[in-house]
Amino acid sequence: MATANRMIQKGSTGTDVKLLQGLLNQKVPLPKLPQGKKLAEDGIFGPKTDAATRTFQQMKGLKVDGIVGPKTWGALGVTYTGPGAAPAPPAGKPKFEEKKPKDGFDGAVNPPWQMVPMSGQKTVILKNADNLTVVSRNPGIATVEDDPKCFVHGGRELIIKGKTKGTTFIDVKNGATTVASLEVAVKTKKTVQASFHLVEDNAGHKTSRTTSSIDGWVKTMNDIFLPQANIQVTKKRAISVKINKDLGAVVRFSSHLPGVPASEHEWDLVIAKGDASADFNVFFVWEYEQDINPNHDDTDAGTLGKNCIFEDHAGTNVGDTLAHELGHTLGVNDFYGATEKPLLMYGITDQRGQKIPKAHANTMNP
Amino acid sequence: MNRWYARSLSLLTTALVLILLIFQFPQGIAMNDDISSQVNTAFAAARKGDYEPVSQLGEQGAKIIPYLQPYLRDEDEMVRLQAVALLTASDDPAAIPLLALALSDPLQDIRARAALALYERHDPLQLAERPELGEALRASLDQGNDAAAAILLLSYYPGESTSAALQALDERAGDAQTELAAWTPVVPVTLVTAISRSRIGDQAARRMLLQTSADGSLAEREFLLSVLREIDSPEVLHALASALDDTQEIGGGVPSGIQPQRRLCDLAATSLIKRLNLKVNFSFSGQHRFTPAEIDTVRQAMVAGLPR
Repeated sequence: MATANRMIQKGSTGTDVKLLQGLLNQKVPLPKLPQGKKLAEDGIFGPKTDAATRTFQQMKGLKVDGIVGPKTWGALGVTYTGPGAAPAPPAGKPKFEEKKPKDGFDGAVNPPWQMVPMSGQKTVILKNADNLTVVSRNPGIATVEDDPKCFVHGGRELIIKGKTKGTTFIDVKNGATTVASLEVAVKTKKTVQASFHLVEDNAGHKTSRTTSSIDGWVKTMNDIFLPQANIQVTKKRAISVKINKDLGAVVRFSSHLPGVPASEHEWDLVIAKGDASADFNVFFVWEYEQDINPNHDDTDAGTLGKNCIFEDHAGTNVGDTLAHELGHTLGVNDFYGATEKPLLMYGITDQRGQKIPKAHANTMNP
Repeated sequence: MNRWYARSLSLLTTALVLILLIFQFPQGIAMNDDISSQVNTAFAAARKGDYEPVSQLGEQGAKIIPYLQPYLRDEDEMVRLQAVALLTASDDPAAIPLLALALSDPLQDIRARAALALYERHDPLQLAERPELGEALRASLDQGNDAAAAILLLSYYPGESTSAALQALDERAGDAQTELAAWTPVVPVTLVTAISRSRIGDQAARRMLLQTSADGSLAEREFLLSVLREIDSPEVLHALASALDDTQEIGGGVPSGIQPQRRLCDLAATSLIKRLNLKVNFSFSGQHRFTPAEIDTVRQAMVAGLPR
């Protein structure tokens, strides 16, 4: 691409004027050139070149002043490098990155995505964009500003503030050209009122769990959901409930299994003890199964709607597993794909992470 | 003798009324004071982050409802949330005006809860007899409430102002999404407004529902089948019957982790049988996986029982 290192106007002479005349001859239709004739490419910025320049500026919606500066050179396809030129873009493509893990950033989607709470803010890192402009497409939904106190190696820190619920984009611009974007979802806070029930039956079977651990599990759930999906979990109540039946060694969901006696299906008896005003009812039981062989301990918990039965043998990372089960209540099914292993909703307990990607966050809190 | 008898009877009646007033009315006051005190104590605890006493209040049923009103306007959003949570657990009509009040809460979370409780707990035809609730719903939508329940309920209040409120929501919704309950499919706000607009006679909205029934996403078709009550057009119901052939798994009906999961065709069969009161020669539960023969029975019952 051709370059020009100065602004020129009527009276200027030189090779850049000659370049201009050649380009005007190409880009301005012949009938619109002075006297319907091509300009002489003589390097002298005279009245005919001035008139052709003004015609071109009018065609392109530029300021019609006869001065060929950065914008007119740009419109002609010439890179302007003189005084007032936009700084050259840094090497490498601008790239958004998360400031910290599990903070509502999803870099696996294109464009990358960031959850921002309404009336709150998030910080993201923007690399390879030192001299580029960053703007919000809709400042009514989210605003963006540089954090003046922070500068990370090779990048800038951008503070994005959520104004109203909605989706917009943060664009990185080199002049008028958008060179990178970040999708921003501003979410209102969604609350989950969770009630916890320590179950026992009338034959002496009871959960070994106690209420003393519940606050810690609620904290774990909030550490996962609040920064990534703006969902706040509140402990509504934690009580013991007694079922007036011998539920046996295993509490079962079995109504979907042909040939299993109806009396084996104990799910309904248990969840009947739930808190009707809660959003998430957790029932801690000694052992839970939901397949044809109740003696094989292969299920930690089962969730249907707002009810979850959770057994005592459900691993040591109870808060994470509860968060996973809450994810089901919030509408997300298990994922098993290889790339999904770090995700909260990965189906296998011991390979599960805490990450909530864009698709899941948008389902949990649309 | 008769006059004496009549006078005696009158005196006796008066005495009985006085006795009732003396003994029963104060007792009633004492009981009300007791509830009032319990409610105040419970919400004082809630203000400190202890929600157990409020949860216990829920066990007392509808009699606590009149005492919740002040807490719906509390400055503390968690207090307001607890009050609304109690209302959402009740199907008593006394909860309706308070839920209408909560539709104008500053928090969308609370507005959405109020709308869902009205939708799930109360008969919409009875709600339709309360024009003030229609006003509250329209105002709530204008305030930014895009909860599916609020949008769907508004169709029970047809009229120019409802059409205008739905159109305004359509115009500002963009690609925003919404849901009915937490675990139900997430769908575009514009699909839900189309259901409401179709119900009040908007032909363009009806065409959109026909199109979505035929080639919408899995979530969109699952959503339509979940709100069949609101779909009154036989053409749309017939179009949705195409879901009887769709064996994609959608979950629901059985707990997470159970394989195989429920399919769209199972939901379609269950929903259409219930919505249209179809006569079928087999029994089924919420977890039922329909056989091809059963699906065919449902399809034939639809053809025979619902005009095109």
